[in-house]
Amino acid sequence: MKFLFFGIVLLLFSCGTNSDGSQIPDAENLCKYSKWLRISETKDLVRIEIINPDDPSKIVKLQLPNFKSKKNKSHTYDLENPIQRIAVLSSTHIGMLGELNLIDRIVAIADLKYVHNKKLKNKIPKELGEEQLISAEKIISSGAEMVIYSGFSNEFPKQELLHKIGIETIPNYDWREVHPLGRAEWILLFGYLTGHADGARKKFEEICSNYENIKNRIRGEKSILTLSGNMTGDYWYAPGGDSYHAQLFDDAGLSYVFSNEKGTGSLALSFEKILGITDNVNLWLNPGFQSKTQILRSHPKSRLLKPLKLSSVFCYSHNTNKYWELSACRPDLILSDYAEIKKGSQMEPDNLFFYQRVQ
Amino acid sequence: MIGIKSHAILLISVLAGIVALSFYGLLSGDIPTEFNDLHHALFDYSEQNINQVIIREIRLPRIMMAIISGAALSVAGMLMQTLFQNPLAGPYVLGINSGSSLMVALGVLSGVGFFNSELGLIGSALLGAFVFGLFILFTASFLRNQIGLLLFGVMLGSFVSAIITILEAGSQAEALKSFALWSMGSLNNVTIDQIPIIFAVFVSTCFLTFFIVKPLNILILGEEECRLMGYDIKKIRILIVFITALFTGLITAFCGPIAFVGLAVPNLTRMLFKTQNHMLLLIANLLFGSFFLLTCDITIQLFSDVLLIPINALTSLIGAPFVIYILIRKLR
Repeated sequence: MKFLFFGIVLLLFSCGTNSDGSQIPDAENLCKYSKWLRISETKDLVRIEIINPDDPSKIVKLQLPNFKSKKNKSHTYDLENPIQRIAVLSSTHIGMLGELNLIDRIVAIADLKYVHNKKLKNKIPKELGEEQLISAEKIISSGAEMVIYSGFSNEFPKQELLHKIGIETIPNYDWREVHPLGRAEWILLFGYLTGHADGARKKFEEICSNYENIKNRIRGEKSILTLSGNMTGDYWYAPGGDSYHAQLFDDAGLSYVFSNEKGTGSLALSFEKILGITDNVNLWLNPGFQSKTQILRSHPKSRLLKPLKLSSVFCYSHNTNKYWELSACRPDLILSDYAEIKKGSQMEPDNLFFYQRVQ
Repeated sequence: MIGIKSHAILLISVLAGIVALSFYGLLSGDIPTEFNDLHHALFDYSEQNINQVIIREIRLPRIMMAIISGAALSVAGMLMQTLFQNPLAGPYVLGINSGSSLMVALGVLSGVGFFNSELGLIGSALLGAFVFGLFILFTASFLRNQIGLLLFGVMLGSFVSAIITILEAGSQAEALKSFALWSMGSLNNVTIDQIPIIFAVFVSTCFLTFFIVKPLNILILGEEECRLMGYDIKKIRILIVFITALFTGLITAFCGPIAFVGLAVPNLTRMLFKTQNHMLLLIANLLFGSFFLLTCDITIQLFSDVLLIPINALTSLIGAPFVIYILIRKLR
């Protein structure tokens, strides 16, 4: 019985692994930063592996022909042709396809309310709703060949049924990546699935180059003690010292107050503790609101924080959709914003891409 | 029957407990502070001293709010139980809180200027509590069964939460975030500047309650007796709903909905004092309510290093089994 169960689980998460999968030669993993995405390529074949961060033994494997190659008919693939009609359930997926100029391929999304891309807004794709409550009928009627989802739960609703009728469901764990470039690297997944691998690689190299250039340029500049997060209920939630945001702060040369606190997730602290340890803090990033009034209404005692008194608070909340859509694939632009914010009084507000001073 | 002397000893002990817990709460927290800091924070305050800021701006308002909220919600619960002659009545269970929540949701999620302001929020919460109080009063005249009234309250709560869910689905992210934070319930959001206003409204409402102690005592005997004694039963009922709405709306506006205090504490005091004398019950609810919520708050602070417990979760953890206990006793 246990073996049967194990077999079913393997079948579910293998996403149609090829019968001749063992024949694929071990090629180099093209992903340098990502922890949960592996892509290897030979002249004829592309192998994509998406690892479940909660259980790394669960790997979604996809085998595609190398669309550049002419002689790719000797294998049975999970995808025979590049995806032309895709349903994406997260803003970051839209951002990545947008960077590849492939917005036209999107036929369905979760909710139009959270879309920033004007072209997509005008196109009015089908709205599928939240990932966990999604209707298979809506997906089918959208005409999507593939659904990319965020993998909040273990399984996509009606995954097996959709697979039977030829609609593949692929999880995207970009949001679980800790390295900013690791998160951006998921652009390669979209590139390979849509037949735009070269474009995706070029774009990613450009992002990496921008990121490293900014990082090197600001290295050695005077650091600013920085606070991040906000009060939610009775506690202040801030990114842990090993988290994605902490990495960005570090690369931007910002001295993050919780950089020594272990953990890739959130830290929960009392406001008393925040006030006690942030006496010398001069910058507050990501308070979650676009105005001081909103911050104070949500938590009036925030007025005691020095950065608020100094008006040294910055957030992306004036255009949340833009941030969520583009920040994952463009960490270079976040870093560029932090570098500009670091200039203090010399800062040029027009040079900020995502952020704005909280007034 | 516990004698007057025993009642007095019990009440004085609880009062002493409130004082002791308050001092403990003011002096303990994540940042170590001393008695000297407390003295300065209260009588010789300097904004430059972080310890004094923490005591005056963070701990003092939280402890004051625990005292006021516990007392206000318990008295509101006692009034509801007497009005409906039902030990299962309380502002949270009957849905008076739901009225406040609905109005606050309409205000915050609609984003309309005035309703989105602090004054608008308080007004919305008070209005919602009063209108729902009257609605429950009207409906109660058709419900003979005590458990029926409880079920009605539960249904009202579900109905309101469905409307709120629909409102949330169509609202902007910022408004949704503001409402979600408010609905979590917290004693931490009140500032030291707001305490005098809250305290003034609370004390005035307490005085108003003292004036209706006699009719409350007679109401226990039945409506006919009340009429024979020359009281206008309709007016008394509306006055009780009004006072309950003031207590509940005030606390809900500033702290969000806080569950079960208004149900558990009045029942506890009735069990302990075994009396229908509302003067004694009123004092007991004021003191026991304060003591209860203050204890919950101190417990949360004590365990905050190992476990994060929202105030609502702890009051529900204690209050819900109490409701089950009363229900089982009733059904037997």
